[in-house]
Amino acid sequence: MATSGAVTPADLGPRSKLLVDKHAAYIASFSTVWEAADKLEHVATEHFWMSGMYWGLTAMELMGRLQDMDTDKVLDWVMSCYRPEDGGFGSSPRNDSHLLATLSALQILALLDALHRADALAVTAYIAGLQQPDGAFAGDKWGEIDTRFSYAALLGCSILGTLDQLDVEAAVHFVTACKNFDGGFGCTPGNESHAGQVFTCIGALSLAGRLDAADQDLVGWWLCERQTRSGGLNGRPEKLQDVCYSWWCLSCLSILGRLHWIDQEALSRFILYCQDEEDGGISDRPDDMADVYHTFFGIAGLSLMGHAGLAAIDPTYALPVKTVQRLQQQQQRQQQQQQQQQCGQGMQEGGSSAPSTG
Amino acid sequence: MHGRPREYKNKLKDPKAAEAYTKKAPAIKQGTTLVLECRRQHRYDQAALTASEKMLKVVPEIYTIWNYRREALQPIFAAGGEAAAAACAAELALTQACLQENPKSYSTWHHRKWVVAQGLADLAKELKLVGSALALDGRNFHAWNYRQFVVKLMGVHAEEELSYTSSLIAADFSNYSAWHYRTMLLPRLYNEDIATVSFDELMATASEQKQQQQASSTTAASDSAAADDSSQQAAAVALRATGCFTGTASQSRPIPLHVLEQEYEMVHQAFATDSADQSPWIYYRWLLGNSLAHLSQAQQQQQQQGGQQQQQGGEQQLEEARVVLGEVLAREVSRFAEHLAVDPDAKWPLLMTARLKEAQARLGLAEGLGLDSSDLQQQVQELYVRLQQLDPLRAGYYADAAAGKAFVVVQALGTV
Repeated sequence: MATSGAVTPADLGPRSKLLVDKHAAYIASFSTVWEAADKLEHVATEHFWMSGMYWGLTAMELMGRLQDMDTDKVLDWVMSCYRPEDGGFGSSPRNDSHLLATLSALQILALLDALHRADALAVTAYIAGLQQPDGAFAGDKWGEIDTRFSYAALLGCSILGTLDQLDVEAAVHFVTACKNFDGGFGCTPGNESHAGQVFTCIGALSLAGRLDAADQDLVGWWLCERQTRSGGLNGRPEKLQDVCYSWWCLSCLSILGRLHWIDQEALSRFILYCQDEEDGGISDRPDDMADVYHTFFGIAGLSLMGHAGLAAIDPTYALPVKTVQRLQQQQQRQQQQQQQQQCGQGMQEGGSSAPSTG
Repeated sequence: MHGRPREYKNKLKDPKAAEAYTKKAPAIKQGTTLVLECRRQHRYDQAALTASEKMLKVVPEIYTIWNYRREALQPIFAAGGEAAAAACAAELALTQACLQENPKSYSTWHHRKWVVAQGLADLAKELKLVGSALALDGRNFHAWNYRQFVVKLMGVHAEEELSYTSSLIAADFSNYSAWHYRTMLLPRLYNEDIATVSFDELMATASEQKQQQQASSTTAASDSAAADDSSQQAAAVALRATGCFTGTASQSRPIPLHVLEQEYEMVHQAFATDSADQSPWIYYRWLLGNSLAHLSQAQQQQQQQGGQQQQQGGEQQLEEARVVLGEVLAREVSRFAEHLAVDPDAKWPLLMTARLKEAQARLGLAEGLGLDSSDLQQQVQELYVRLQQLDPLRAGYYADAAAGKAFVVVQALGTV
């Protein structure tokens, strides 16, 4: 029986190392999840296929195994989920547009260096249209409010290079209104701190250049108190440890420069212990069923801690550092080109107002 | 996805289980196809809606199907009357059935909120329902979120909700969610002027806005579109009700001293009952923050009054605040000394003591305690170093704290 006091054994046996080949094979089996008509875990998760693809692809890239995925097919499938009528992406071709699916789609496009396939203006307009007067973001036109959506909006536009199209100040104001007595953040103002929401809020503040709005020592401490005797992290006080919090908590600590406030060795061993050495994949807790979500977050957590053999991951974008660097370079070049064009126009106009020689 | 043991794999090797399992997949796939095909044909008849109900009871997270239901419901709610009331009851029954299976489904809770926001539900019943959900799982943040939504619409007084949290905490000191809720309620009850907006007021605001819009609009709208629109607006405004419920982020004054005393008493009872549980210890830091805020408020007031006739009074108040804070900190240190006499290696009393002494040092209270300032600093360091040994997982945090680089006892006031 899993308890927060469960200790990770000293000898991890077959799980002592990160079983990259097993995990790569496991994820690759989801490579074209929409084609797997029969498997229940595929069919019953259509409402987050887009996120599932993002988790799988990014995990593969971190392991250096992206080539095992059919990325051309994936790209075509991602674009088939784009809905030009509103500028958003759905979680699958027949699901309505939603901000979370839109973010995952943009993250995939960024990962595969295919952002040019997205209509940046239209997608930006979709995202911006979901912002509320108080700075919050709805998940879609039906009005659910949650700080997850603030993060999705700010990150989506950061990826597109259109962050200036959002009211960032108002977005920050709303996120700050969700800050709690313990330095953490909830899904809406007044709601309890939860590591997942702490991540989305710290991530949003980071993107907005407003980490000053967080009580960094306090929330850092609250986050390091998530580590249990098992070495794993929980998401809230008195809850069970879970591999996904290796990401939600760890990325925050990384952003806040306080990664050393947890015991990284103990956490690494916990994550490794959550591997399925038979069929591949990583589960929420040792000996539970694996899934792509926990596989990704376990690998991402290990990457943040500098685990050998894994590519580095950016804690705010939740994308490989290489991807984020490429994005930023591309955006810089675009800006320069725009500036040059403006200069060129200015010179032309100046020239035409000069008196013609007689 | 969460908490499913790996032996499940072996269960599926059983032919009967495997059969049931494999039948489910095409059922979900085809069921979804059926519903979405109806939608594509703009079919919102009872048969189509029943099909959607069947799907949602199995996979409540298919947000697109909830969207489809809302499209069907919009004109019904807009038209009002018995049909609207019946539709409301049906949606409440459906979401209740879904929540019984999956009490943490975001889309189900949101749909229920959307329905309730139409203004036809019995809010007292909703409060009772969410109370039951919380009795089953006191940490279900979806239920807490929903509770705040309902409480806001009903205009329930903070006092009532505060007693609710007291009873939860008395039954189980480990209920972090209840402690958290207290930090929202106490400032509201004692200091804040946040008006609780009732549903009638929200509806009035919404129809006012609508009238203003119509007055300035130049395009004619059909009756049904206008009705649709106003119901959407009212729903949108009511849904936004959740957004107005800020707590500590907008706390502008510390909770009164006499209330703080009661809260200190409460947490100490919790410490005595179960000293390992994190919840009251984390709450305790907020109480300290409030105590500190009394001093920083007095400091602010004195600065503002500087140069005026009332300067004398301001200085006196400041001195009083300093004395009160000094007494609280000293008293708390001695209370934890009692704990440590019984269990010298207890992490939480040690950590609280370190922080209290750190606060004393930072506020220049060492002298008043008959201590040398550097002696006090030394004590603080030693405590953090000891904690590094006793709580090695967090050695990195304690090291920074020992170096004076991690200070968490800050005044509790918000900035929003």
